[in-house]
Amino acid sequence: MRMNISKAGGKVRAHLGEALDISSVLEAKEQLSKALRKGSQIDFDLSGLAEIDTAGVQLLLSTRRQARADKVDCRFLRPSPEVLRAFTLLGRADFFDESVHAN
Amino acid sequence: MTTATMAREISKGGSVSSSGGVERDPLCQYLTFSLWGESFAIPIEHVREIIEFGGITTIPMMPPFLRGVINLRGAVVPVVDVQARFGRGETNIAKRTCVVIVEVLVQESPHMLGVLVDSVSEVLTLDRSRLEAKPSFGSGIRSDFVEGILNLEDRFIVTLDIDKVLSVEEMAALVGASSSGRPEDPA
Amino acid sequence: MDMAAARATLVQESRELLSEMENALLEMERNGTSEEGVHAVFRAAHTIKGSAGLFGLEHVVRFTHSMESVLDGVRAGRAEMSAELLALMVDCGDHLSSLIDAVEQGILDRDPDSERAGALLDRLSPPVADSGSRALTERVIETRAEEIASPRAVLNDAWHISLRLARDVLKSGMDPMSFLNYLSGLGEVLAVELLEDDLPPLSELDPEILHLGIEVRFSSEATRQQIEAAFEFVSEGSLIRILPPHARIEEYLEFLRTMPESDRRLGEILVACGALTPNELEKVLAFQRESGEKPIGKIFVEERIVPPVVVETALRKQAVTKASSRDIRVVKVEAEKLDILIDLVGELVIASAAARVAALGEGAKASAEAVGTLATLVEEIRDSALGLRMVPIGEVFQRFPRMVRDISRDLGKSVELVISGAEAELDKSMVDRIADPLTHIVRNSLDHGLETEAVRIAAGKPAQGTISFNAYHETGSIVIEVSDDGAGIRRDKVLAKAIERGIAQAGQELTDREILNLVFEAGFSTADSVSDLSGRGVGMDVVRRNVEALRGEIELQSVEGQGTTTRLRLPLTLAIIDGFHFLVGKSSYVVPLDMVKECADLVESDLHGGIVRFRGEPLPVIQLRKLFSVDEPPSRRRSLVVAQHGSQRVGLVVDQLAGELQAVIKPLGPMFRNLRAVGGTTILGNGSVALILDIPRLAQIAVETSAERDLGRTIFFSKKQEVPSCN
Repeated sequence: MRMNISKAGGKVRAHLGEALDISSVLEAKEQLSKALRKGSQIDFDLSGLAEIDTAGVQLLLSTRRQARADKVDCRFLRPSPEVLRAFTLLGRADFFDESVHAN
Repeated sequence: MTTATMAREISKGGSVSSSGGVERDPLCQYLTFSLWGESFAIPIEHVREIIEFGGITTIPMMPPFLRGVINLRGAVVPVVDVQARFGRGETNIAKRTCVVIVEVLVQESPHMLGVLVDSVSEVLTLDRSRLEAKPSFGSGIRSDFVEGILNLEDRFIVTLDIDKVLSVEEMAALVGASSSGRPEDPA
Repeated sequence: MDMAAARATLVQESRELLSEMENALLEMERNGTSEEGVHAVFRAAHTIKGSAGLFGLEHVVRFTHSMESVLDGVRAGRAEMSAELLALMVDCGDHLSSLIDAVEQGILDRDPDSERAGALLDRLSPPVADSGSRALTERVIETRAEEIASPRAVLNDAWHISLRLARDVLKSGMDPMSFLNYLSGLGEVLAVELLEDDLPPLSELDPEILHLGIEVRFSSEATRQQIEAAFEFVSEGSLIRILPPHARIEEYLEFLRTMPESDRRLGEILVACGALTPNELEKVLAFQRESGEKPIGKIFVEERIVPPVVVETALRKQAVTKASSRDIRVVKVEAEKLDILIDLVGELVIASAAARVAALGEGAKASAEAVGTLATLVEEIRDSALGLRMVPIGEVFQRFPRMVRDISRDLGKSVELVISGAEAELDKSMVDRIADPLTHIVRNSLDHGLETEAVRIAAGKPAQGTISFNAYHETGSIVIEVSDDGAGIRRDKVLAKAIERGIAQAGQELTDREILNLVFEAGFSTADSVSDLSGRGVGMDVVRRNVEALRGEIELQSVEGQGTTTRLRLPLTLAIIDGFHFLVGKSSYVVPLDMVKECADLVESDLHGGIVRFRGEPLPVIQLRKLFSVDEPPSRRRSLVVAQHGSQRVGLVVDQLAGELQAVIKPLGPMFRNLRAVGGTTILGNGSVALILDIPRLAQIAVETSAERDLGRTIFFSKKQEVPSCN
């Protein structure tokens, strides 16, 4: 999975693309782990994710848990239509609702 | 050349398997050794290693060419006395006597055999053109054991047909031959 | 996923299932139909159907589905498992077997014999009601169940589906989202609750494994079967519960009980997705507290919700499912991996022996003790590892009931196959190689040994002939007996045939045993009018060769008019044995320990040529130094090793005893295949090679050779025993 990381004013922004599925989750896990270690604040931009499956959803859920444990302020922004569809299908549309600090 | 150096030579040459359709290397390698004072050679492909003579267990009631078996790192390998195989009596064991471990195919499966020789000389790398057809006159041994002749500057060296010399079929039959001389039918 | 490997697994599993199916059908043919039998057949077809679906083998799915439908009808009492249906199922099993064979050959998209399939399907289809009316019937039954239970029904007018899919579904290419999409096509997904309790943070996560559970509330007019169809091909290890609309509260209770999460936690989820109202949840939890561990069924009956009969059936169904899942837990291991393990164990044995030699050499007590402990452990590992290779011989035997049934029918004879000793174990490498000889022997019995009904009745025998298999262990070997109560072997005919073939001479005096052994000679069996011979004849030389290739023996016993028994004796393990080590001159020899009866000092004056007086009795001996032409002078105090094989005893005269050891058998190789008395070699702790002697062969030689005959090389070798000239 392609991941472009940029830093702007102390904040780290990671763009994920294009596919996060069973064939790429193993590699993506490493990339996400590394990204989390880059700073105390990180935004994951999901607008570039054209494909995602349950393995991908699971990975993102797990990433948020890790961020919480590491006390990293982590946000998941601009979900692409596919990402939103997947999370909704699995009953987790609230994942992107920042006001509710759910899992 | 020490045994170790010999082994290194061999492994450098590698086991060139002649699969059909592959371009034949213009060069070929032969291991030369000595039996009753005469020089012989075999292609390197079959040779796996060379060890000193020692620790052989004789098997009773064997024909003279079967000296016995040795423990080669946990594998039990039979040792063939080629001199006896050629009908010239048993090899005298001396300081330079060694065992050349070769691999032959028996019905498509590989088997290790040890070949007892007086001494090992060297590994020759030569142009394939040096290998000539076997002579029609006797070279002192059974003609079907001879594969060809290596034409070197100063001498000729007889190359042996390993598959025939170490023909397990033939040797098994001899091993089992009853005193009336009736050969056993292979299973 | 490696498709070829996965397909190979499918083929293997399907074959096992087909074998189970056939056994169940044959059993029912013999002893009448039974619920377990029908269930076993159904389960086999159903499982094969599922696996075939995973691979997109539509033709297999269609075929097994038809079988399944019929079997389902039998289970539900809508059809009878008649003799015709049993035979039809056997035929279907055969066809399915050929489909699997085709899959193995790579034919994946069609039935290679669609004509036969068509004919079978036609025979199958009449009893099945069309699916439309079946669905209707099902819904009627469901509604009735709901009506019965209505006082306890929950408000939820939608289905509740709980998915705890197996951890490896993602790797298998399946995705829960596709199930949810499918459901959306069948109705409306009202709510989805994702269970993340088992989801670890990223650092501990295995991203390819599914850690999520899913609870779904689903509104639909579909039947339960249609909903279940969505999950039909999900792998084993998945837990899927489907609760209908207005399910009884007890069903939710039972659901809670079977789920791993705590009741309250799961209850909250159910409320969250609308399956239960908070009120109902409280009722369920209260129910759970009050009734404790009381079986659900009892609760039903006590509350008079459901008539006892219905409850019983339901419980019995549960019991059957539970029983079948309590099968022996089996792990599939590639044969090659097992062989590697056995090789390593072999090396371990040798290394352990070397360590022991070294420790003893250095005289250090602590080392010796440690090495002793090591040796004991290595022995146990060895036994365990070799035990892994042992399989019950029943695996081989089970191929035969079908064969006997078919051939006896073809021949118009009535024959029964009786099997005992199926639990006796033998090395797995022998299992395949023993099947052919056994098949030959059985065919002979069927063709020539057993008489037709008419002949048997005239002879005062029961009309039905019997072939029996028996297997048991005996000092380091497994003995397999195939017996029939047929006509036995006619000695006069055997002799006549042998003379005709030049295998024996007219006027030659042969013992009964020798006459019987003529049957094993090559050339005896080129049978033209084999029907003349009411006895053996076809291919016995091949049979003997196969048995001897396994280092085994074969012998015949027969009583004319009564029957014949063929007895095979095979070594239990080919790899590592407990051995007894001794020396003759400077050479080491080993014999299997379980054949050594005792050792004693040799009293030279009791030794006369080939016999020694031992404990007052004559004991045939072999002077190994003579046999092996040993040059070194004999030791002054020689020993006698008394070995026994079967009923034969022989003494071995040796120079020095060296004790027990574990011998890793290294076969001698093709050059020595005609060498009979040596069964292999082993490497001793000091690195030298010892020969392993074949006691049975030596014993045979000693017994058959009188004291006057010269023990020469003729006896050491050869299958054909030369008669040496007397001194």
